[in-house]
Amino acid sequence: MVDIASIRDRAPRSADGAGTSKQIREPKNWRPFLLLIPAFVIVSFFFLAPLIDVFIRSITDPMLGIQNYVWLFTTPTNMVVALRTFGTSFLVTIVCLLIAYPYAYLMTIVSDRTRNMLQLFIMLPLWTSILVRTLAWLVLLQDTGPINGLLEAVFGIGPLPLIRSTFGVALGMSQVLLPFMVLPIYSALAKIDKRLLPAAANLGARPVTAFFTVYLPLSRPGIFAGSVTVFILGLGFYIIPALLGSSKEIMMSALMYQQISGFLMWGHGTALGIFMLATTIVVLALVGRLAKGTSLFAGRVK
Amino acid sequence: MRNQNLKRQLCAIAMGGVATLLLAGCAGGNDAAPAADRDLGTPVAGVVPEGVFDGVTLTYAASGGIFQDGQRDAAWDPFAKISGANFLQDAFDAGKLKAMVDSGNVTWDITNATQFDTARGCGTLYEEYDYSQVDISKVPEGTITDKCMVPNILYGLVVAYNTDAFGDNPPTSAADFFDTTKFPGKRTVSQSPYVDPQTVEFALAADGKDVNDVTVADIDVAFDKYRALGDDVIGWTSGAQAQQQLESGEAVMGLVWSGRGYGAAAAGAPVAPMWDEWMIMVDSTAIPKGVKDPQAAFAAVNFYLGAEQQARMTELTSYGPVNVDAKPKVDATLETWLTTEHLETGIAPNIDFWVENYDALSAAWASWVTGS
Amino acid sequence: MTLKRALGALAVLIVLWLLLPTLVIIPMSFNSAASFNFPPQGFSLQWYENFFTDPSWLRALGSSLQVALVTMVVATSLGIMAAIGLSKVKFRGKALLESYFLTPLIVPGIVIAIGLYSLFLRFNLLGTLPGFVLAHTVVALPLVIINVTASLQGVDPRLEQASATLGAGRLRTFFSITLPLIMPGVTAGALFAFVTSFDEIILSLFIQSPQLQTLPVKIYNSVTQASDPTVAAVAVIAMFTSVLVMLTAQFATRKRKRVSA
Repeated sequence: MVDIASIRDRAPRSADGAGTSKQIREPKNWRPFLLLIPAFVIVSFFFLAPLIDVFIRSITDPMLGIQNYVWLFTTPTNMVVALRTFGTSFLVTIVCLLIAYPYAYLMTIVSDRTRNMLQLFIMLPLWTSILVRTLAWLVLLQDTGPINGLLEAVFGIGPLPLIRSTFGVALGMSQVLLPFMVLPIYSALAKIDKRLLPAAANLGARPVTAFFTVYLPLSRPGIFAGSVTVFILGLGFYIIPALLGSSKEIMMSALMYQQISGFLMWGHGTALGIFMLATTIVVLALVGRLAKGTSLFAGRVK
Repeated sequence: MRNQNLKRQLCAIAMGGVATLLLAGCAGGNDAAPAADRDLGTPVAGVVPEGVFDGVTLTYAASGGIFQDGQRDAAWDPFAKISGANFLQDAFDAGKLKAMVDSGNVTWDITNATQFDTARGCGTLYEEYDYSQVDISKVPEGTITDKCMVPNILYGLVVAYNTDAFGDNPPTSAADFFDTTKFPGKRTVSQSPYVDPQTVEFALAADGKDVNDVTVADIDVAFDKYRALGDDVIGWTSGAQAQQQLESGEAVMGLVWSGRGYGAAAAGAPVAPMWDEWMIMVDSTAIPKGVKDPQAAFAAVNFYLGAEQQARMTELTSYGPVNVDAKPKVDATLETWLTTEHLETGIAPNIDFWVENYDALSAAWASWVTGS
Repeated sequence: MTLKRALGALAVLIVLWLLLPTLVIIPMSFNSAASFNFPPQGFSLQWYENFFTDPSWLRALGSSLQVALVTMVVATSLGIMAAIGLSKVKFRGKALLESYFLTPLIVPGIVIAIGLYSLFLRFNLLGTLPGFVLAHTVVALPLVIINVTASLQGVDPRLEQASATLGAGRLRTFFSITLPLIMPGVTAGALFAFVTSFDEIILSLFIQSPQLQTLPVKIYNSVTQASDPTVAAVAVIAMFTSVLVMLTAQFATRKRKRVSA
């Protein structure tokens, strides 16, 4: 058998002796590390340091100790809110998945130009600030807003509480998070060999069977990447629940703010913050384990 | 060994970075020099010597919107013009205030706070007033409720009701607010992150209780009364939201700040106040502890208390003046919402009780606000 | 009806759902009545007038543009360096380092914001341009890195080596060879950074002060504290600015792609 690697190593060298092959042994160059330093410093000072500060406060305010964490886990309100936050995020993830998958699939079977347009439309909402989009939902969903007006005129249903409800919050969040589900799924679907489905049909499988046994499993990395992104982003949402939900739908981020700003309990608030952080990391770790080989650098997925 | 060298280089650079940042922080820090002592003479409300605060920057923190804009136009900007000070406006946030006071870097000079805040935080979060620097001779009786405040505005927590729905048969008592058979429809009540003891007192008053006889057990009784309204109760988390709910008709009744009820009425909504039973509210003008220039802050507050300034403030914000000589020019609509005319039927809060039992109140409030 | 047609119809619905709600702000901003009730009652330019004659709104717009421009420059420079650095280094913790740069994107904003507030308070960075720029750079950096890295992957490393053998120094190689080749990624990243900073709300809410307030902060305060429809006009203006910048990014990228292909 021809050993490709050995051929590569025997590639002709250029005049001055330096190799042109990619396999050249690179000197342990420390210069690239220098390039990383400015970014590393900024991220450390303005991202890591604040998080450390939050953590320190959670164990020192008002006195040294873990009393804030004890409060966190023993106060029923906190657990209720935590469950509600996970639940809403999960709901939003499922909704986004169901909407994004067909959209992403469509993107794989249309012409290049149409695909670019579809991609543009998905990206467009990302370019408007989340605040503007939330304001729009506020106007649309209010009791005297057009949606309720439509419901009343066409279906005769009385004004439904669309805002100040989990529905409103989930709706707003889904709209904002959908692009984060579409893009990873599309990325994965685009890599699936288009000949597999006809091949399965050739072997006698019905389209539905082929989809579930061949296509869907191959798109798993995309589903995982998208779902994890949407779920984690959803956990941390503040603006949308604050403006579209009522206090009854309060989520973790607002609870944290309430403790700090409403009750002046920085210790409680920061403990909640660390809890949010910890759950994010745990979710990432769990899913990372389940979907090995998918890195955050989408382009690197082979 | 190459790696170790590298690590050492990285550490050195990181240390350098930290050092630079710290130095920058200390160098650009607060002015070490204490505020100069200027000779202002005997304070007269509404008066400040010209140009005496040239180069001084003062910041007033309150809850924003028309309220803060009105106060700014009526008092703070004129003060700035005469005294030469640079007056800035900021949004008040209690959490930020605590962080400021704790860190010693206080960037606000005057704040609007509730009288419960100043009663609780007197000496810890707020400075004690030097009343020799502020002319309080014209302040309405009984409105100075602790050593860390002078009144900011006189207003109320009132029932605003929709006249289209209840114009012929309006509510006439606090109990009517909880009567969904006689007065069907949604009511809006405070669910703001800031605890409001007077929302609790209102429910107890509806049961005929005297607010001066309140016990800790009554707190849950009050919240249960609101909870008993079920889906008929919606919450407002900000004054603007309360006003919006009244304007849009989402709520046919609301337990709201009088200024917000007026705002809805002025915008054309069919709302009217119920004065038969309402909660008298006095906000504090408070000075954060560790303020950089106390003399300037007191002088500004002194100016704020002037009759002319108070009259103008009422005209602009619709909240009641805290100078008995103030004669604001009000139109018919505003006149119906001015609290100063109805003080006899108002209920003053039991401040001491709420200061003592703040923890119980805030725990119960947290539950109420999160819907549990 | 073929599957494609059915999916197409679904896609249209999805796009409408994504775009229409935001568009409702546009007619709202022309409302002649001073309320948020929809449908608007008449046509009036008063809210736009309010915006352009109110010094505090204009100042906020100016601040936002200023912060976004500086953030764009800082984040792009740092991001290019980091992306190139990451593409060249090889060590065991590399994946961890990559994730380190990207985590600001997924950590709940409010947690960073609270910590940042307390830090800035101590170092007097509240409401300062450097403070804003650095905070925004942290959230803009991941986007620059992702975009530039994507471009870098298409660059043949032998080109750099060839340039080196022809005698060009590292810097010259970068500016003459690498940079032009990764321009699409750099442009996209830079514009992403601009828009991220321009629209950034949660960190800005905490690090602002009366001396420096960005537009989103003022919008948020207006929505929560006042019932002023001027905010609808401001929202429309902010929306158009972001969309315009990003559309430019898309076209610049696509044009370059065609050229370098």
